[in-house]
Amino acid sequence: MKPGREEFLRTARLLEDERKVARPIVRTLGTSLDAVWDREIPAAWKTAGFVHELTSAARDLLKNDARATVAMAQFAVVVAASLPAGKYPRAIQVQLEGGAWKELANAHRYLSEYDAALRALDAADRCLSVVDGLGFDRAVSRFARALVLSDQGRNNEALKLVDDCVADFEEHADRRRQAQCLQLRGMIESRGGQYRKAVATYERALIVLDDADDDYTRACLKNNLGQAYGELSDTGSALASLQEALALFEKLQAAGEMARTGWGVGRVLLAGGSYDQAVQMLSGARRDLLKLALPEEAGLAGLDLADAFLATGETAAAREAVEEVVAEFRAAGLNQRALLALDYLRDVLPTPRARAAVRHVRTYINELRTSPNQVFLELDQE
Amino acid sequence: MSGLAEPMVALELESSEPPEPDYAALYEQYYTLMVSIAIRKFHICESEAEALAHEVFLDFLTKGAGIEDQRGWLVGAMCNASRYYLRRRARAEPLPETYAQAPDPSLARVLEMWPDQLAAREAIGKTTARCQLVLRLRYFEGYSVPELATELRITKKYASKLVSECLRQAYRRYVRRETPPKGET
Repeated sequence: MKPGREEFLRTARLLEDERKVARPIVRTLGTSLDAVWDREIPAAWKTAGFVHELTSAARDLLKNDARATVAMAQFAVVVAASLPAGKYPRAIQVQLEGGAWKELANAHRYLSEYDAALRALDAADRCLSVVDGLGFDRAVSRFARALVLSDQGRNNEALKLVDDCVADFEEHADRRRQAQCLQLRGMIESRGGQYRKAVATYERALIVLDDADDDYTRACLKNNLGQAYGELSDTGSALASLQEALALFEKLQAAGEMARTGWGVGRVLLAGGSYDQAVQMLSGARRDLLKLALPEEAGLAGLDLADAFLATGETAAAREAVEEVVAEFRAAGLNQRALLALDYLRDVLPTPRARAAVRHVRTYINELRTSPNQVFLELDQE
Repeated sequence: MSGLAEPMVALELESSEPPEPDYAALYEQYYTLMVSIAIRKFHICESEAEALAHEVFLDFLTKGAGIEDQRGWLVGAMCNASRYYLRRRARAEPLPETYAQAPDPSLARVLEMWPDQLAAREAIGKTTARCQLVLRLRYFEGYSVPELATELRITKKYASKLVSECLRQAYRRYVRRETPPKGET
């Protein structure tokens, strides 16, 4: 038997055993991580399997509690760095530490802490660069960096990384990640107003994904494709795509995504002049967003609803919708500037410029999410 | 129709864990192929090609269950690793012909440095998890105090104090280990 093969199989068995032991401990740590910071790391926890489980747990927590993910990933970094020297092959040790840093970066990104995310990715890259065989992990880390850069609006840098990642994931026959890279490219194109390019990119991503077992990415792609078609005023294609996304999210029981996609359908219907259907769809989406405790998005959907009411001449219903949004924003303690803009909207609602004002205020409140200090200017002042 | 909801990005959400692959069978099946790719396609010597294949297999271990196309992944990873190896090697400068006669200047103080470095690592390893994180970020990853404060969500002043406290803790615990208990010689 070759020594390499022996070491590989021994490591495989060791990892599997360690992960089994670590799993229940890590599960309980999720609720009591605070307590472990102020003591030495128990020797029994200093295993590769433990780090693996910690990193997986951190990833699983991300969507529900990104702050907890930060803590768990930081702990994974510390445990990975304290693995006994020589117990594991270097590739394993480095991969685990790099993976923990990458998870930390993802959590920081989720919390819009972009500089901290980039620092964590720098650490991941430093770690992963020393072992030749970790090309896949380096590509994953590059993709994480592209996500951060695109969130920061550094689109050219992000696109360059995305193209590198597409090639790397294609080489590794990883269609899911390849499609995710293309999805990011499409998003950047969409944000830049290049909707035709975005449509082509999303369609290419769907072809790459083909029959891969990843309905979540497929649903996101269909949703984004629908939105891009909507921007191109191709209502038929937009609705078809969004309905497919909705069906997939429903199958996955992804409540948040269903509400957001339903909201997208409502907006496409509104733009296409199907006001009654738009009212129905937007009311449902708004209700769901409120149920999910997403007052900001529910508020924006409420303004779309007001727009739909105004389009059919139901000014009283529009006023009611705006009043509800004001009350919700106030209750949620959201940005005071948004409340000022909504006060202005209330005053303008009875006038003929009501629809233009609704859209103006909606755009402003949407922009506040990324630029919270932006000053509100009334329609005439713009 | 501008200002639609933000497009969605599918994060790398891994689904529930599929069963682990049969690693021994995969190793048997693909090892020779992978080594031969590095040798024939990238002209890498056999021992290095074997080391690369081994690294790729070890990386595969940490994600094996989540990989759909195992053959594609392994072959692709081998090509990627081979190219990375060649790029790294191309950046390395050859040693001068006289290298055997002159001592490496970076090793001039090695006898003094190594014990210090080993002691530092050992000392840090003896501190609490929080101190390990603090000292690691500050001294191994080069975080500035303000960056450390951001990472830990504490004030800069407290971050600075924490670094000092952790250094003291490392020193105390290391010295305590080194000093024999009373009564022992």
